[in-house]
Parts: sequence; structure tokens; C-alpha cells
Amino acid sequence: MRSPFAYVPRPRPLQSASPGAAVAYLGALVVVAFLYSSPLVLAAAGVAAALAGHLAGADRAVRAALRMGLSLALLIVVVNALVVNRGETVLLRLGELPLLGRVDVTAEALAAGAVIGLRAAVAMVGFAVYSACVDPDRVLRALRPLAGRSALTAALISRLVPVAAADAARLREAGGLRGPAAAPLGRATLVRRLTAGSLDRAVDVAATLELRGYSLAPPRPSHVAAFSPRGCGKSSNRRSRYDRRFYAAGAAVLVAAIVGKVLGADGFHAYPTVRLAIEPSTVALAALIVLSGLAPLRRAPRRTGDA
Amino acid sequence: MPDVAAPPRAVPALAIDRLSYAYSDASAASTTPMGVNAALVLRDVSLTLGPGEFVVLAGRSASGKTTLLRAGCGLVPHFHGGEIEGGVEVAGIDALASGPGELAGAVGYVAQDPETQIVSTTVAAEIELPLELRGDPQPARARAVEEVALALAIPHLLGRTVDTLSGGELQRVALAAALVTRPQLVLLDEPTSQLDPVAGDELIWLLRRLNEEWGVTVLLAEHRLERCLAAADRVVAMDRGAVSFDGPPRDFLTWAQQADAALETPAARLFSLAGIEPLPVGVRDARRILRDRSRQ
Repeated sequence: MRSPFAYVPRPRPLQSASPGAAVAYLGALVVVAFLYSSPLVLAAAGVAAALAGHLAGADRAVRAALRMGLSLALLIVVVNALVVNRGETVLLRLGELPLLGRVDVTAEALAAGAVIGLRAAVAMVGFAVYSACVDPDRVLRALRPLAGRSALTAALISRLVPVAAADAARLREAGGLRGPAAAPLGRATLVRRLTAGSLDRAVDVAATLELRGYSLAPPRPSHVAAFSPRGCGKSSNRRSRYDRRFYAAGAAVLVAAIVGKVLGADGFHAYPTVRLAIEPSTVALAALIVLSGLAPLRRAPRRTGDA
Repeated sequence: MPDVAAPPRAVPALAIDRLSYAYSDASAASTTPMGVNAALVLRDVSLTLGPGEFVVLAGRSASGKTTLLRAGCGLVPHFHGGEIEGGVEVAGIDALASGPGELAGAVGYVAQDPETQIVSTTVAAEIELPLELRGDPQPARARAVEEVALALAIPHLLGRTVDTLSGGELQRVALAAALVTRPQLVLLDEPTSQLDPVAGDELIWLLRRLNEEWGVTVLLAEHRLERCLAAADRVVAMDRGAVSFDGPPRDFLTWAQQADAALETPAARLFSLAGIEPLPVGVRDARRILRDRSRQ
């Protein structure tokens, strides 16, 4: 079965956009998640990324990323609550625990953990939409002028997820063939094995890229004529008519986020007591971010023959 | 007196001259890497492959087969690092001075695992990539892709995404991507190791056909020798980084009987136990020998 994060070509704006435009747009949402601590803004960035994925037809990727992201967020909340004793509102005194020492679970530590977890979840949804909607072939070609001398960098950026996805499918299949008596291959085991092997696999892919001539000086533009993933003669590296839309959406989100930061839209502090201030600027920024999630919306085809 | 020009000598597809090599991690363990024999993966290897030869590279695991192939395509030392002595020329190009990219037009390389040799999402894009990176114009690329797809019997795969292909199909696509630049030499590192016996046999005979029709020199490292000896013109055996045998397949079987029983094919072992001569290089050859014996 194909991984939910594997790229699927679809005739949608996000898939048609050049890799740079798609990265600028999705990257802006992820940057906002790292700039802000306000749960409202973080939730807005998550909703925008999920909406973008939905409009681009990447629902499976979004669902899988949300499942993984929220599980990770929960784990972060629990770990943060156990290891951070800061905060004035003690909810639970667990006493002395081995390795952890004295543990007081505070509302502030829980809130801080939730913010970090939410941030991680937003980043995962953004990356999942990127992985499912941006053609790795085009990323590889776009990277050539930047990372032509480093096939490893290009392999890591463009092929790590597809190769890991194929490995995961194989490992799951192998796990299923071990018989009913064998212990099931858990998600943690799967992730551990994939992580351990992914760098080795990326090195192998990088070697293949070297052998294909990736490190040669890029040909002059007149020679870089048409190439399409399907080999049907259209250039895949030329700009798309959707590029401007995604660059504009990304820029708008980033500028608004920076202005909002200056105007005090990030009104959240976990310590010493949780303080959440939702200013009009916070609401406006969150609304703009959610609206940016509509950027991959397809325009309805124009009617012909109207009088 | 008119000048009588000497007939042009064919440039060897691969010329390896007294090659010794140690990987960087192995050499780091010793202070004088090239002097420490244990660190050397290749030891004083000399080998010349003429144009159009089909050569099988035999040897036990860790005998240096893969490293030799990597040296032939420039991955050793340019990609893997390490210390190297001697010389490697591919179709007249100094492989130690040029990187794998510069050698891409002269040599194709196919490794064991087809998954890591595929860098594009569609078959057409994968096969076209080396030509695109080289800057070939679109019509020439389209023609070359079609030609190589026809030669490998995969034109029906061109529109498919690579994640829908079987292992055998992936291996053929990897071979097509290695051959699309029409290299003079193709190096294959156990390309049948992940294929079923039928697909493995098909791949070997496909290679032999390309070798005969296109004149491409083939250097094929294989463990399952019974599969490929019948297709080979010559066998080179390696042992602990050095060449231990270089000759025709039938002589190799006789040599393996004495020198390294692990390299004997099952059919050759059976024949030698039964005291039947000559030893067969393949199943068809075994049938022919037995038929001839029954007639006598």
C-alpha cells in the first residue's frame, strides 16, 4: 500500500506550482508556528495547513500527520509536565520519583507542553502536505543549481521521504508475514528501524545521483528545454501560473506574523502563571492565517458561450 | 615510401592497473593504512576488459567485488573516500582524475537494491534523467528513452510511477537508466539477488542480448554463478581483494574444483562427483553433455 505521505500527481494548484512557491507558502505556515506561542495562532496555522492539504487532495497525508502529530503532542505534554517543575499552580504532587527527583505537575508546565506539542503537530502537518503535494522530481531539478556538488543534500531533501515510505511498506509487509505467533511490528519499532536505515539509504541514493551525472555543471538554459514527469514534453521547472498566488500567500502570512508580533499579538506566557491575552490583532492574524489555507483553492472553470 | 598507419587499437572498456584500495574508515584504524594489509579491500588488482566482452566477476562475500565495480564507475574513491594506489581507466578516461559524473556517459552501474537506484517518481523521468543532466535536447532524449525501453521490453512501463513496479521491473528500469546514455561499459553488482529465478535468468539473458547487439562491455558480479556462466565470455574470480583467476568459464569450473569449492556451481559439483567430463557451464550445457554421453 502506498504511504500517505507519498507524492501523488494531481491537477491541483499546489501540485502545479513550482517547488519554490509551494515551499514558500507551506514554509510560512511552519515559520509562524515557530514564531508564535499563542495557541490561537498555532491552531490557525494548523487549520490552514490542513485546509491547504484538503484542497490539494492530500486528505490521507493530513489525517496521518494529525494522528502522529497529536500523539507526539500528547507525549510532549506528559514529559514536560513530569520534567518541568516551574509554575505556581500545582495540580498534583507526585513526590520523589526515580531519575526525575521531586515531581510537581503544574498547570503551567502542562500548558507549555501543549504549546510545544501543538507547534510540532503544525510542523508535521505542513511537512506532510509538502511531501504529498510537491513533486520530488521537480525538487531534485530545482535543487541542482544550489546543491549540484552535493548529491547527498539533494537526496536527503528530495528522496528521503519516498524511500522511507517504501521501506516502511516493506517492513510492514515483512512483519505481516512472520505469522500470527510473532509479536506485531509496533509503530515505535518501525520508526526506529526506518530512522536507523534512512541515512544509509540516502547515501545510496546520493551515489546513484552522482552516477547519473547530477554533479555535472547544469546545461545552459537553451538546452534545458522540455521535461515533464510523464515525459510528455512540458517543462516541469518553468513557472506555474499559480506561483504568484502561493508566493503572495506566504509573504502575506509572514509579514502579518511579523507585524502582529510587533503589535503584541503573541499574548501567551506559560510561567510563572499561564497568561493568555487574545488581542484584536491576535484574532485578525489568526483569521488571516486560516484564510491563507484557501490558497490552493481551484477556480471554477469559466463558462463558455455566455451571452 | 608511404606511411603505413598502424591499425587503430581498440581502447579497453576498462583498464585497471595495480589497483590497491582501503576505505577511509578502515584506514583510519591504522597509522600506515596502505602498509597494513588487513585494511586493504583491493590488493594490486590488474584487469583489462576489451570492448564487447561479457565478464562475470566471481568471489565469496567480502572478496572485493563490489569495491572493484565502484572503482570502475568512479564511486571509489570520489564518493566513498579512502586511500587508493594504481590506475583505473574507463573507455580511455582516467577514472581517478574524473568523478562519477564525468564518467556517466562512458559507464553505467546497477547495484543490488533497485529501490536505492531509483531517484525519480515515474519510469520515464527516471530513464530520461541522465540525458537531461547531461543537457541533451528533448527530441534526442525522447528517442533514446524509447530505444532503451524497447530494448529492455519495458515500453509499457514508461507511464507508470516507480512505486507501482515489482522488484524485477524496478531492476529493469535501473538498467535502462544505466544504459540510456549508451555507455561502453556496464557494471552490475548482483542485480539478480532480489529477483525470483525466472526474472533473474531473464535479466542475465537480456544483458547478453544487449552485449551482443549494442556491443556494450558487461562486468557482472554474481554469487549464483550457475545462472550466468553460460552467458559469459570470461570469468574473473577474486579472493581477499586480489584476482585469483581470470579465464574462460569452463576453465574456471575446473579451477574452482581445486581452488575454492564454494565457487563451484551445483551442476559442476554433481558432474565432478559422478566423474563426468567436461564440467557444464549451465543447465543447457549439462543436458548437451549428458545427451552426448548417452549416445556414445
